[in-house]
Amino acid sequence: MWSGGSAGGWSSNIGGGGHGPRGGHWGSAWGRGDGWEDEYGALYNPQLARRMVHYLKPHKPWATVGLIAMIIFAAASFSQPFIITIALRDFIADGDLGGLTWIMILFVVLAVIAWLAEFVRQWAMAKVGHRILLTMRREVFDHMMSLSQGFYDDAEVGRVMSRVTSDVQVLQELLTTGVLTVVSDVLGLMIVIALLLVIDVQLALVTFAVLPFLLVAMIWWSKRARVAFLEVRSAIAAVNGTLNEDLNGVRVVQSVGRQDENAKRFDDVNGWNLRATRKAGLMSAAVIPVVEVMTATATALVVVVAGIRLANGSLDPATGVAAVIGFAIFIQRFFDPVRDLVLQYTMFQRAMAGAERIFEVLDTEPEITDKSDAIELDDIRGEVQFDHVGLEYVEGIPVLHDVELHVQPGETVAFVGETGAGKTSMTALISRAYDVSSGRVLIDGHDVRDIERRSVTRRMGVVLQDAFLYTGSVMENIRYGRLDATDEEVMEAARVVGANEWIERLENGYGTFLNERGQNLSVGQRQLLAFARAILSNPRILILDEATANVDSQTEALIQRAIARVMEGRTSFVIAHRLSTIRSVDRIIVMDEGRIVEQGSHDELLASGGYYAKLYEMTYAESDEATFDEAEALGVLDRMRARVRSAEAQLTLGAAGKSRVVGTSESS
Amino acid sequence: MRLYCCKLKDCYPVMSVRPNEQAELRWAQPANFGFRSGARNLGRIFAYANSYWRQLALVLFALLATGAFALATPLLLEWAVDTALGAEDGIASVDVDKTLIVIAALALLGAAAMRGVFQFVQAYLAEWVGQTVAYDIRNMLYDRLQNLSFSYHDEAETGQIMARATQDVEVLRMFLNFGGVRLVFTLVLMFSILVIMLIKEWQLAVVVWGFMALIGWRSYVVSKSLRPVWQDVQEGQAQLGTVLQEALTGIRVVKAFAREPFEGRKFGKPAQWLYERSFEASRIQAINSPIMTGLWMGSLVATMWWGGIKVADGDLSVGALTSFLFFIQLLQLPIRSLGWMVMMVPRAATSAQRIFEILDQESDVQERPTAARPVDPKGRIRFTNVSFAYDEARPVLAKVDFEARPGEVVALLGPTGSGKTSIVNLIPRFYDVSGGSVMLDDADVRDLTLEGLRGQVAIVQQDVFLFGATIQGNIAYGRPDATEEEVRAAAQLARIHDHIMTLPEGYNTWVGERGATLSGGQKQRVAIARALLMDPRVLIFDDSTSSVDAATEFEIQQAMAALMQGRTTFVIAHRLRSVRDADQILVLDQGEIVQHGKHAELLAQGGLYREIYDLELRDQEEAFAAQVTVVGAGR
Repeated sequence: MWSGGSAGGWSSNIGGGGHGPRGGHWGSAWGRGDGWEDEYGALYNPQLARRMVHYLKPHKPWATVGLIAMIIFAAASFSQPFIITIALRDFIADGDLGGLTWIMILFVVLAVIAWLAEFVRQWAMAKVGHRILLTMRREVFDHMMSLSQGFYDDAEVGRVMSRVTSDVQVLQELLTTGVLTVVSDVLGLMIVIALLLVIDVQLALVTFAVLPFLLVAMIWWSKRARVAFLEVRSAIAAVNGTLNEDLNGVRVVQSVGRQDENAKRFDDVNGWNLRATRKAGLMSAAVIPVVEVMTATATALVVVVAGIRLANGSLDPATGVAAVIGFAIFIQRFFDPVRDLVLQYTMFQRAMAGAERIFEVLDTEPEITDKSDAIELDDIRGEVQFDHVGLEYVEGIPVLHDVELHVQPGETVAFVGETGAGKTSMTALISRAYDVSSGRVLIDGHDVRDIERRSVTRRMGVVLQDAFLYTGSVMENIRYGRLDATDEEVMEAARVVGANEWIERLENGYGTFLNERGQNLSVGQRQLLAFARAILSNPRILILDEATANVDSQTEALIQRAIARVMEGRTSFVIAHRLSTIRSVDRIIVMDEGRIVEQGSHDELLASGGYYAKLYEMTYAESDEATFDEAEALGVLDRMRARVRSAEAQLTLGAAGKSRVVGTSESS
Repeated sequence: MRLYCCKLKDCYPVMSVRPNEQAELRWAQPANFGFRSGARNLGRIFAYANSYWRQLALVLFALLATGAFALATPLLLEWAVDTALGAEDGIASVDVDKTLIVIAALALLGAAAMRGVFQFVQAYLAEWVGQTVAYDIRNMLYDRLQNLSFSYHDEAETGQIMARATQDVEVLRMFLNFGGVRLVFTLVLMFSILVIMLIKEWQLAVVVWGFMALIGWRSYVVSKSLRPVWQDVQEGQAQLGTVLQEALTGIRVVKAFAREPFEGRKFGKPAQWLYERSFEASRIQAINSPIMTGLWMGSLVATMWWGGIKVADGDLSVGALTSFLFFIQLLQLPIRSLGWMVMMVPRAATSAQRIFEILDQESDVQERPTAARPVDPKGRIRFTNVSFAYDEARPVLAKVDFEARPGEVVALLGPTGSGKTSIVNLIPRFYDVSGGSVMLDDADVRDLTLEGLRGQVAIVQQDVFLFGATIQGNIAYGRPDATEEEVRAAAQLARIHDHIMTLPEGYNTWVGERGATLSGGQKQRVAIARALLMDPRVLIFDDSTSSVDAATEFEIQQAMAALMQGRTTFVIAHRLRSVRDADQILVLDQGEIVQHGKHAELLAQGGLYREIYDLELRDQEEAFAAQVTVVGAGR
């Protein structure tokens, strides 16, 4: 019972995992609550409900079994006080021991039935619940994988993650625990009401009189409690976000000596959380006396009314006493479902909001899909042609204009231009991360949209600026490039890029486990793995998108030599800033604002004295043109220096000898 | 999902709306330490709670009062039935006393009200203490983590630390509330009921308690057998989370290799496992929770049957039977949650241990008690026979000897892993030397206060970390009291001002993980502005990568020139210009200075410098020359 058979928790409060406002580092910064999602939706949305029920369909048999078991359980367990009442009234009162035996046997039978029903119910619920969770998770995940690059450009990973984790969980809880609890509570309530009326109409009505008050109190409370708990969620997310961020930036913090200031700011957020949790604690505690008093009022009323009627003689003694006892027990059980239902209300709202978000993802159509009659190419030669290509990520804002480019198989081409010139967009179109807005991109003369995507990617190697490594061994990470590669082939690829040597020196060689995105390797090493991965499939087309930007020059020189070998005979597209990389290519394509403005070899372009020459010049030309008054800016900083010096002098005078022990503060 | 936060019949699933409900299910790692250390750790937790002894005393008082009034209800009902209704001698004949009826009703109401109030006090204060202690522990953890030296953070995984600061703190909070306070209460309540029942009707009490013992035992056994399963579930979730996170952050790679189906299968594995283990957990519960319900019903039936016979025979008053039925009702939840509460103790001990591991961690870099603040240093840095190792098995630096005079530019050059970064990390004392000394002016850096020393040394890294804050906040990060004018001046000198002004909210634009994206070069200039505001005597510039285009590189160079003016500068360099213009060049290989001098000298010497030059720098030189020709020809 204490976990309701659910699959346990996805903590939404670890490391700012998607929920909550920003880290709240700067005093009132958490006021920027735009990271906050609607936690609660409408109570009931028929369209959403229909779609949710769809998930129950494959489990119809088990769901039905669970429902029936639940009804049996509710009937068997809620009728217990009734049996006690009958036993007291009809048998114990008369001293009818034979009758008592029979009704007690009935009691035992009911208990056994309740026991079995409860077992079946929980079993069925677990079966259905966890299955649904698995199905939904996989469906949402697979769908996410099929979504195009465009979807991820403006999606936050944390938030997308919570679709697969917490939202799915809430939905599953609703479909199983939630729905069944509501059914059971409503059913139980009806049974109790019926049985109370059967025992004594008048006493039953007296009991019911308290109900509206309880309902009003609970609804009033649950609204306020929700607000309080929402604040707790934001607060704890802010606490964890701050902690996580400052942990990641701890080196900066220490190098600028900001520990004290940060401790103060953390205390602000932490204190906010403390106040919020105390308030929430107050809310959840406040409801207790209310419920206690309501329950007791009902019991007291029954005692008084029954007593008066017994005294009047309008109530048969046995019935009266039995009724008082039976009602006293019933009242305890009567209020439970009522409270439950009020709480389920909140859960329904949360689940609806979650469902809405999940279906939003599921309803997002992947922009890039294979045509049904897509051509499957056995092999490609690597001829790439841009035919009047235009591209707009956002409608009306073109990033490429009417680009014409023809690259022969085996040719190496470099894209050069300022940030935003459209270099990466060009390579993204070749691998069909996006579709063109106008014109065509052709590979071996086929429009990429007519080719089965897999047959192109199979022979295409891509290395990006950030070598993305997965948790797994070195071997697995390289093999990502071609899943059916043998160990020997993987090692051969590593050898080609010059990674073999240091990989074998690693603790477990190729079996070395890479943690947290490969953090235990240097940037250069990670990039070499990415290279090995890219050439493992023996690609015809190689795309290096700032692939060596983040490695130091020495590693780059190593990679450079490997690349020269690798690029031989393959069509290669290179985006790089380093001259040494660019100079050796067959053709340099100079881009500016989405257009090809120049092309040719390094020497040709320099000689022509055009845009490329100007770009090039900028790197080495001496120029000190400032767009601001440098003397004034320096003056400002000088005044700051003076101010700080004098403050420090005072500090030194005032606190001579009293130094703050940074490393040992608050040790035990 | 419903959890026990219960007491008496008021098992109230308020936890279902709590953010931290999930932490509840995250069982800590199995305890792999002795009883004694576990007790010591818990003792320390209670020591923290001890500062709130007034609240705790009040909680205890409220608990006992709640218990007393909880016991009052069944007894009052007994009295109401037997005396007020006059059913003591049998149900068939009653003798109602109207006054007593009203008194009984009011007493029932009063008892409930008192119970409610005390329960409120106790629930609120227990939560208060738990949350306050959690708050204290979080603050302590934060302070400790902020001040632990680099060597600690090199080893520690952020995820691990976060887990401790979140889950383990949460477990402790729950423990203080449920494992500590509620456990005591439950035990006291059970004991009182046992005594009352024994006094009133010992045979019946024995039967009922037989059932109760069975329930308690089952609950303990189940909690115990569930624990490893929950651990698996937690592990499965962690794995699923990793796959998910990686697939989403690496989506470009996934797409580039068309590995969507592969990712789907990869996700499927932990998902399937999680399904199996979660189902296993539910299966255990599906078997056991009905058994416990059944046992409880058994005790109810036994009482009713046996008591009924006695009442019918006139050996027991009907009121007494009623009170027994109510006592059983009262016991149901405490006994079922008992096993869970008991299991909480070792869990909390484990969590406490994991937290104290951080709190007790001593920083490798300690400030001496006699440490002084550097006053107006000139910025001379001298390394005398410095050796250094991150751990004893791996020496990183040996016999490093050099001096940088105030205002000089020192370039460090050498292959990856030759110790360049290690040398500069020793200057602001991010690590301590293993031998020899590092001096700022005439003082050993170990004789200076860390705050004072680090105030004089600024580092600009290529991979700049931006905090989730405004640009203004990020530039002023090292000097939070800087005025807007000063921040602006620094940004102008760092050549980032113009770009900032193109952003939608200027200096108030939010950056960092969830903020506006700055390019590598822009970030670097923000870091230069940050360093300018720090106004250091010594500057360290890690320039080992170059993810910037030509125009940006030009701007960075200008910014650097502004920053370097009049400061002792260390450059980990790969740009020809920085190397060529340096006052000294240190060429490092395997932790030793193999060459030391100026560009022209070293070039003439040959050796490693010459090799590096040929491999990496000559290109730039030639390009430079070519460019000069071109520009010259153009004019």
